[in-house]
Amino acid sequence: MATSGVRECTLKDLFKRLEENINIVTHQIKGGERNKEGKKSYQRENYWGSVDAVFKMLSSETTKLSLAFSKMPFPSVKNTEAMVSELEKRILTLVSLYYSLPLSEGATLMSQYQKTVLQVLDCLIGFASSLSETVSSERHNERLQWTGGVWEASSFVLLRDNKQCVRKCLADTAELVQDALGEIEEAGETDGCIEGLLVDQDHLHGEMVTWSDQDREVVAACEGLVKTTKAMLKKSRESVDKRGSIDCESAVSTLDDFVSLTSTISSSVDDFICCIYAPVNYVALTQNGKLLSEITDKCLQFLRDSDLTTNEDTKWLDFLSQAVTHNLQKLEEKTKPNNDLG
Amino acid sequence: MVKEDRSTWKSNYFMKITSFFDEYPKAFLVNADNVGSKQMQQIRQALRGKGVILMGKNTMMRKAIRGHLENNPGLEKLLPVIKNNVGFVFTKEDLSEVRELLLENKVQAPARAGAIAPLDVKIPAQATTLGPEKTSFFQALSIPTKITKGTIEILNEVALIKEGEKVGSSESTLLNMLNISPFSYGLIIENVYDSGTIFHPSILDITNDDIVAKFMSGIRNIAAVSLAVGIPTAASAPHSIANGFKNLLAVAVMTDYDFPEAEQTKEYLKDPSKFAAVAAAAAPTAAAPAAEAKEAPKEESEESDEDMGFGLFD
Repeated sequence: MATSGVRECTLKDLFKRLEENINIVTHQIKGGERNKEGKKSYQRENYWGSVDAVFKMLSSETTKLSLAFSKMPFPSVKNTEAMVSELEKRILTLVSLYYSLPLSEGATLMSQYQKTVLQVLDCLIGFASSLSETVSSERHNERLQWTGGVWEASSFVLLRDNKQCVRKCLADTAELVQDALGEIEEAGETDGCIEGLLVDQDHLHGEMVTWSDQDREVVAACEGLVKTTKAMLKKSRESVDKRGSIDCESAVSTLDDFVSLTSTISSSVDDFICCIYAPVNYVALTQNGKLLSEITDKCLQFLRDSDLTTNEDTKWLDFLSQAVTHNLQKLEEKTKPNNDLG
Repeated sequence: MVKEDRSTWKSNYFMKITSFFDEYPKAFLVNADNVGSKQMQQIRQALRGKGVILMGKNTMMRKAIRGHLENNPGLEKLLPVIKNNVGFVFTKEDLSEVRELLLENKVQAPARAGAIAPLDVKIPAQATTLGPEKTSFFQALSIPTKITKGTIEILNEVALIKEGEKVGSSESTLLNMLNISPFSYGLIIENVYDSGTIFHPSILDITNDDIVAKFMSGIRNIAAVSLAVGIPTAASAPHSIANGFKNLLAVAVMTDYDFPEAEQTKEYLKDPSKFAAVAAAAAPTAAAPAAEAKEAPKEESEESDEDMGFGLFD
């Protein structure tokens, strides 16, 4: 009995150490320090082939450990140490591969890669912690769940070049903008009133607040502005498809710079649309509208100045620029106090 | 005073969201399509003490999360999945248990016009209680009927709506008239959030059998690679030994050389009818010893063939 107690404690220590070690690696990767040069002999296909292989190995080592602790009697400390050490070696291989990717491959690619590696490591931390729990309480739900988490994270298909990653970022942003746009329509169905959001609504009293006539006109202008942003995202994706390149560093950094400009679009749209619900605060709404139109304008200007567009694209660039100005003016006019019809 | 309550609820709502993320380490992201407020209330009651539901406008939820990223950076992963008609079920309990509760709280619902059918809807042949004046509904949907004792009788089973199709207004009206509520709706789990990590709900279905299956598939891969490159490993050793034995057997069969383990095979090849007779005698009574005797030599070859995929004389 006493022996079993000692053994459990030591196994727990092993898993605690594993968890701590992965935590250290995770913090390093989150810190974002990177070797600018990366690996000089970088070859795209070989590199990503190796990454896939390491992910598979991590998945296998996790499976091995999970199976070993699926029922009593659990493996000896010595055998467990050997398995844990194998897993740690694979983690180190992944980290070393991660750091060997040259920065010149693109910041967007790097960011996606970092997120995926961190997801795998987070799941491994969860897995290590669940093994501690399994050893102490013989509960297995967490172990099964985190084993699955590692499987899922390590089977994630990584995009292998910056252009694909940029395209995905733009598509993801467009999806969120579309979702926000749908919310304006939904708000119209309830006349700007939100009910049923709070867990306990009993503290809300009195009449429901809905839009005034002026509010409705203001919201129509808001919709126009968001639609313009959405159209810009769509056209920019087409431009990236047509003219985006990863053949030279300047082309890669053009793509990264554009993604960086668009990175605040979704939050700006959300901040903007959060203001449309009754009672509408016109000052906040106009401020957020200005911010959104500035970002959209900057994106259009960037596209105009970059190699992502040519003379062929002037027509839609002009059209969207005018649409931004028109919708912002409309918003400002409609929110003026003397325009209050309600 | 009353108005103040309603105008300040927005900031309260943001605080509520962030406090949930601080308090609860785990959450389900659920889709609430077709779940009415009454059903939502029932689910809330069922979850009492186990979890808390938070529904809301996606823009507000995303905004609240963005504002809270400094304290809890893991929440960033939630942003891309907060779209469409989603909400959160926060919990500190075992995820599988809470999921069971959510699955139990589905309710039968009528087929509303415009809804996407989650399954095929068929109307069985039956005598209805509808009077002849309703015949036009059936005609509009080309459903063969006749009038029996003053009511409409549906003659054959009718496939009314296919899975994934939109429910038409005629179909919806007909099903309502027949008191058929073909769909069952509830909160559908789209994603699972646990301590800064997001995964697919199917992960909660993983059992030890899945882990064994995955492990065995890994072992098979190692064995295959080991055999192909000629480097023995613990995984390939049984296969190599079985292969070696098959080679020995082959040599023994083709030459006069004998060893005890090859005797039975050689005897069988000399006179297969002897074994056929034994098998025929044993079969009707299914006598265990005879079956075992027959199994013994077969076992090795069956196992080897299955494992290796090679013929006897390869």
